[in-house]
Amino acid sequence: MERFIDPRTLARVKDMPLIAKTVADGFLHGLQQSHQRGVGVEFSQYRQYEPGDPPSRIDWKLFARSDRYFVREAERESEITMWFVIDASASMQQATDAEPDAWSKFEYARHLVATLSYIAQKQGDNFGLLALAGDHQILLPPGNGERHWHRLLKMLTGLESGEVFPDAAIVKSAISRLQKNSLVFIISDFYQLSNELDEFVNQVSAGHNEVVAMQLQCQDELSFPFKGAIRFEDLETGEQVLVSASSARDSWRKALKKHQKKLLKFMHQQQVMLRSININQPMDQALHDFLSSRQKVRN
Amino acid sequence: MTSLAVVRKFATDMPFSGLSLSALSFLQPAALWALAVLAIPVLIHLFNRSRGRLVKIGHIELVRNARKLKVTELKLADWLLLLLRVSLFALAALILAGLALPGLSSSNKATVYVSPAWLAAAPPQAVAELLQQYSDKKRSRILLLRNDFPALDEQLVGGIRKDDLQPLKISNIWPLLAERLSLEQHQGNVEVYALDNLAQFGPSRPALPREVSWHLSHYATSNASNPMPVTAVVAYDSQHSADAQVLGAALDSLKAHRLSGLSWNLIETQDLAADYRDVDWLILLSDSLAPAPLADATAAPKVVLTDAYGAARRIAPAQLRLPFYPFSEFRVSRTGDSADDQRTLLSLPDNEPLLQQTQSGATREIHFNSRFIPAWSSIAQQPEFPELLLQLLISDEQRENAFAGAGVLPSQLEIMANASDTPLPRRSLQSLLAALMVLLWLPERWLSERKRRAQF
Repeated sequence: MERFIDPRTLARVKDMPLIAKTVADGFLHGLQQSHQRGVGVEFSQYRQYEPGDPPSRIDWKLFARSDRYFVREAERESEITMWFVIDASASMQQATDAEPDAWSKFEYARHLVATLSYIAQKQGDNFGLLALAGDHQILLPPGNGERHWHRLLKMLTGLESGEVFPDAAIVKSAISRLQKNSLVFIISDFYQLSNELDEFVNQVSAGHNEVVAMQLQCQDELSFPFKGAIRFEDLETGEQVLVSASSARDSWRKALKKHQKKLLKFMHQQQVMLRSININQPMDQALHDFLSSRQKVRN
Repeated sequence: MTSLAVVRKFATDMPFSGLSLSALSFLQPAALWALAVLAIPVLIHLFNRSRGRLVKIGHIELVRNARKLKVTELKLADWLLLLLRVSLFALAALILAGLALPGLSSSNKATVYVSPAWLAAAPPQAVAELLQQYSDKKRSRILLLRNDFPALDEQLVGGIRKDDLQPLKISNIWPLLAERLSLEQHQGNVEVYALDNLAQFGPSRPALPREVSWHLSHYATSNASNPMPVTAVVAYDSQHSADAQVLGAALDSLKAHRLSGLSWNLIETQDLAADYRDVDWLILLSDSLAPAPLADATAAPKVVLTDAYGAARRIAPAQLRLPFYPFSEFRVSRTGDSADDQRTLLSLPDNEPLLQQTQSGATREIHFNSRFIPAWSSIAQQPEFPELLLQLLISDEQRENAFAGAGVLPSQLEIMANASDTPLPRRSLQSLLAALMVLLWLPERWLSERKRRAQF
């Protein structure tokens, strides 16, 4: 049996909350054994020391009394605000060419945000939404609780993609809100016309916050399965280029490699974690990989 | 002596060589409407022009450096496909229409028939040319059209002397040709060499049992340069001026085609002179009898044609219907052999004499029991009326000598050409076309599949 849920299956389910819950619960069971507890101010309980726990967390006074190693555990602080920034530009409409029913990058982004915010809501974190396309932006101020999550889902459902990613100047007011002690997920394909996304990432990461760039890629881009004469059309500019797929494959891969290298270098400079997600792979697996890698980073 | 033939090539001397486009024919030409299906691949081509599959991507820069395809590269495949499909449909239509070749197209088996008159009249180099033309072709025969077929079916070899041909004078090659063609199954083409000379052809044209190619040559005899001088006087009274005009037109035609030496006067009867010994023909169009001086043999012309009694024996136009090709019939119908040497040259269906001839001394007197104007008789409207007139006015021996080389009249040529000969069997090309279709169909499928999978 497949451990993860096939995205094609998910694409057929039109119920966004159900998808979010299914995906999140599927892997949260094994992963977050005690998401409520951690290092903090508010005491919660003592726990037997286990190899691997940092020695600094051993309660030495209790050790003196009982001659046993105990670790103090506390309620996790939840001062972090999660911001989900969705790039709603037209290029996000790209989907797998061979599967017309599959999710586009934009759909994937919506469901990804729904799932991530569900996890955030479960953990008691604050979360907000910012969707950017053209000169209009949709903003949901941070909040928590299930009602807030449903509000966010409603906004996600109403989102539409189109136009191009806005200039940093236009979204200045929004950026200032993101810069305060928050975890910002930027979900985009990171294709830009000039450098508006770079500028955005640059400004967002400038504040007191942690930025995670989630790059959505589809299988078509990675493997370039096209054959024959293909007329590629840019979703944003409408420009068309007619190529023979077999001869374009090498140059495509070269160009993509170069693009990725440049993007990675840029993100590295900005101290932004870049996660590339293949939208044709199971979403729960991507989340699982992402969350477990974050845990490694933390510990 | 004259020979003013209508010089007209009846059939061009085109040898029937191999497969020429003109040799192709259709067994069911109506099925050529099926060619309309050619519109189908053309429409497919127009509606289905491949301009590359459209794929929308987020970032065009990724393919910016790829080699751009030119639309012409795509079109080439499209046009090739169109060409293949059109040929396929055209072949299918041709199969339906039954494209066929003449069944016996092997030109090396030709049978050549030469009329004796042609051989007699042809200059030596023409005969040599003919021999040369068919000598290198295997199994082709050159035969002389003569009566004693098939007992004397000898090859025509160059050595036949012209003197030997004299007894072979054949006036009608139609039945000979028809007999030969029906008795022997001819492989290959049949070519007939003849003169465009009236004397060879009989009065009627039978439908031949198979197609033949005609080679009509015109070899002018020495008569041509020596026109026979003939003089005529047409005298008419006041009631007959219309008849005189009709006759004048006929004489014009005679002068143009047969007797270049003909000259005639149109005068009124009261101006008639006494002496007509120098006049060959006196044509008297009058209600009264011939003028008295004519009775005198010393002053008489050679021939008198008169309708003097015509008024008394008026014949309604509807009754006067000459057979279509009647020249010879004037000769054969000399039945009436009356006591005073009066002969009926032509009689009507009810045995009423129409043309009567009386020989009085040196003068032949021909009575026409009607008039030439259309209201009276249709005789002058017949296309062969000038010929009839000529035969009446010229003695038999004169005619044989003078017009041996006379050409076929245009109207007669038409009769020859509009033959209902049995056409040659046709060899259908359907199996060949079908094979060709399969051959074209394979690359069409290949290209089409390739295009469908977009793998070029």
